Amino acid sequence: MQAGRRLAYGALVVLALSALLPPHLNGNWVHVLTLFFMMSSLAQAWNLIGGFAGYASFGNVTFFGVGAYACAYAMNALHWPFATAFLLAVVAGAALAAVLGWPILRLRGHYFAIATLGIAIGMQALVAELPPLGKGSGMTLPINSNFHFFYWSMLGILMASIALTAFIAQSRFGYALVAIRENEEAAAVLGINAARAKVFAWSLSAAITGAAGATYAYWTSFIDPPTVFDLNFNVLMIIMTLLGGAGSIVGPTLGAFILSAIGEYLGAQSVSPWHTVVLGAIIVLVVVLLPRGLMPYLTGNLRAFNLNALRAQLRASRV
Amino acid sequence: MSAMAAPDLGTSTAIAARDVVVRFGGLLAVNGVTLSVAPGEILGLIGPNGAGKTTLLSVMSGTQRPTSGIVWIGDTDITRVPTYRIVRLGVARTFQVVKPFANLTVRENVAVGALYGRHGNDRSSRAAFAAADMVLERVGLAPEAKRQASELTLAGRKRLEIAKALATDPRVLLLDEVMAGLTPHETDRAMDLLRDVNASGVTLVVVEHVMRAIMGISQRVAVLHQGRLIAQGLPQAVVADPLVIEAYLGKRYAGGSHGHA
Amino acid sequence: MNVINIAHGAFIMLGAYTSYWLFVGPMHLDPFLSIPLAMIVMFVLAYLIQRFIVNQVIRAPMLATFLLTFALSIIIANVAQIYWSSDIRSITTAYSGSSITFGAITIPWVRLWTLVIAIVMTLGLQTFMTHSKIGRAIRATSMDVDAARLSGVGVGHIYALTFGIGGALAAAAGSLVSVSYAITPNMGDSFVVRAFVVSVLGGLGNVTGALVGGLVYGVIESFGALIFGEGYKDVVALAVLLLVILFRPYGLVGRATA
Repeated sequence: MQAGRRLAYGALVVLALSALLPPHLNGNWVHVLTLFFMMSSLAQAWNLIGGFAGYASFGNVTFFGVGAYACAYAMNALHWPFATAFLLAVVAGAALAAVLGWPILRLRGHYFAIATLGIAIGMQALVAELPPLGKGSGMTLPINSNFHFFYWSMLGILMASIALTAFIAQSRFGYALVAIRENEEAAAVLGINAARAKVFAWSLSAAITGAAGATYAYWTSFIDPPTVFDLNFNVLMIIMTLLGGAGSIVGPTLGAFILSAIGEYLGAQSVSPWHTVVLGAIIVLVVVLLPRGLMPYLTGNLRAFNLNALRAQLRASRV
Repeated sequence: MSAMAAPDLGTSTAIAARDVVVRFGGLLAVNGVTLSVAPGEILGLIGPNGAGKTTLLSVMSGTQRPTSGIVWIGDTDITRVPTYRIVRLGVARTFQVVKPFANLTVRENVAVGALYGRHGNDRSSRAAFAAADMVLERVGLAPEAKRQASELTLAGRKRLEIAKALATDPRVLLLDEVMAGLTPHETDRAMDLLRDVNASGVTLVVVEHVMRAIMGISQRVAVLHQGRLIAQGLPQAVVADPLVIEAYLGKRYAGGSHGHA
Repeated sequence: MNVINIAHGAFIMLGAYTSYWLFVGPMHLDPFLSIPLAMIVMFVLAYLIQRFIVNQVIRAPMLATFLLTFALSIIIANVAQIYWSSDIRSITTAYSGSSITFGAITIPWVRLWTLVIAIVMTLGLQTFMTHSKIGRAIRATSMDVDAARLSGVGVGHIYALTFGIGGALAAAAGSLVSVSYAITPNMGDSFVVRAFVVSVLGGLGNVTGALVGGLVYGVIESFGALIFGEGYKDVVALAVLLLVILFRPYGLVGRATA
């Protein structure tokens, strides 16, 4: 945990310095980095519920969509300024997670995964039917072409989520989440109110995700249900987290960085079928070969890549 | 209740169950058990496999809701109280199949108990870790503090299970076969530990198959058979009880002398 | 078997394309007759996928198999798109337009045949699972892998067989829907979620329950569309899913077990 925290502080310093970059970058790089900050934030948020508490949510993209729509509605219909619309999105995400979390977080394993997947698909279908939200044809937001603003906003969300994770990791609450992940019944007999801890973790996760969704909506100035409730976002959050190391502090950002870099190399602007095939292949490799992610190698908890250890791990995970 | 009437406990009990029934589908795991444990007592809970010992322990710790019946801690009815709050009222348990937090260190495992147990709400993280260190010292796990829980031997994991429970500062500690699978030497150490814990004022309910251990530390023994309490009393008297011998060995042996139950 | 196979939708799609190519090819094979061929092809493919890929993480946490099969599904769908393009294709047979009328109700023949074949296959699967040696081995393995292995069941083979059977059934489903629905590389997506919902409604691991679940789901979807409007049918169906998971996690027809 110590080494993990040092890495987190290092990452925060690097990110803080990257705030100085925009004036020296061309528009494309500003766009690429803004997207990277956004995906990192989403992965960091997923890590709180999926990595720390061990509840693999396939419904986190719901909070992204809800945040985006809350912001769009507040700015478009209520003519609120972005700052208040942003706050509304954060509160809406957290509140929705709290309401859904009480029943849903009682489920485990497949049932939790299916239920959250159902929520994600159901919410997309629901939003696509609501007249105030433009039904399926989407919503427009006031146009703001100051792209540096979005760069800094997403960067701010990412730094806040890393700082929050670093704080939680060494707190009483963080130990409760990890205990729940490792063995929920054993956590309960030590005095942990698992239901409350899980709901709180999911709400924090949803608040960050909603913030990113709101910023995304304002950034692109047009949203529609298939874009902001895209399940592929949710899968990316998970795979970035797993690649970096679920339950670590900055693993998700590391994973997001690697996947974004690969995507950039393959030409992320034109999403071709081959691009998706490569993404699929990366997921297969990560899941089979790196189930604990890269972070344990960086923090020294696992010794350098070792073929025998890999063989042993594979032997243990198959029948 | 053949062997002997329960000792007079006066008005104070540490933990008590009345008419507890637990039904799993068609199976009656616990069938109307009434039992009370006095403050400071060590009660041994024995019985053949499937007698309902673990289920009764789970009811007392709140990890299993009884189908009917009532459970008290002192004079607080805890039948419908969630597990985590029962812990904060001072009841802790261990699991027969140990449940360490495998990816945390031994010290962190114990600290979780100190962070969230009976005093969890009113002490700092630093104080909780200090309390965890004291528990580790007491159970003899201090040298292993920095290792991952998954690296411990079985005896070590059994000790860790006790240490986690102790870290919650219980008044009543429910122990589910903490000596199963240990060598005789390790069993002796575990018995010394339990006596030491009891001497500090903790009431113990000990489920155990190792008869040497049960006979050695219990002040009173209760016997469960097919979900019912068939005997309770002083250890030597209970094991001589024909009903108990029959429960363990079948009717054929019941007429014989002292069973080696 | 405690594996959620997201690639099931991709298998359905491959089944549909198999029927399509056999139909437009020189053999001009009727889609109903190509079902056995599609099943054999997909059985072999699914068996190999399980044996060599999914099996690597079968004991890892559930998330691993979930993600792995998701990855396989996007790989299969996109490779299909690369080779077959994303053009929408359909199968039009001589009898596609004909239907049968019971009083006020008109049912297309192809749909009726689809229903009959689906019921026959479900009952066949049920019989296979309860009476055949392999079926019993599958159920034993799903209850306790290690106990099954100790009893002499080759669990690696059984896992792969189960996956293969699932693949074959997906292929049959693909052939069946190919006569009524458009065929595209992404056609499987909408079926995966419905397959989940139906399985959960019927109770996971319950074969005839799945049939009941399918009927109930179809009725709910239709009534949801009727009462709230066409667009709400998914919302209603998923709301029902959540309620069932929360209150009857063992399915509508199953019983709670300890």
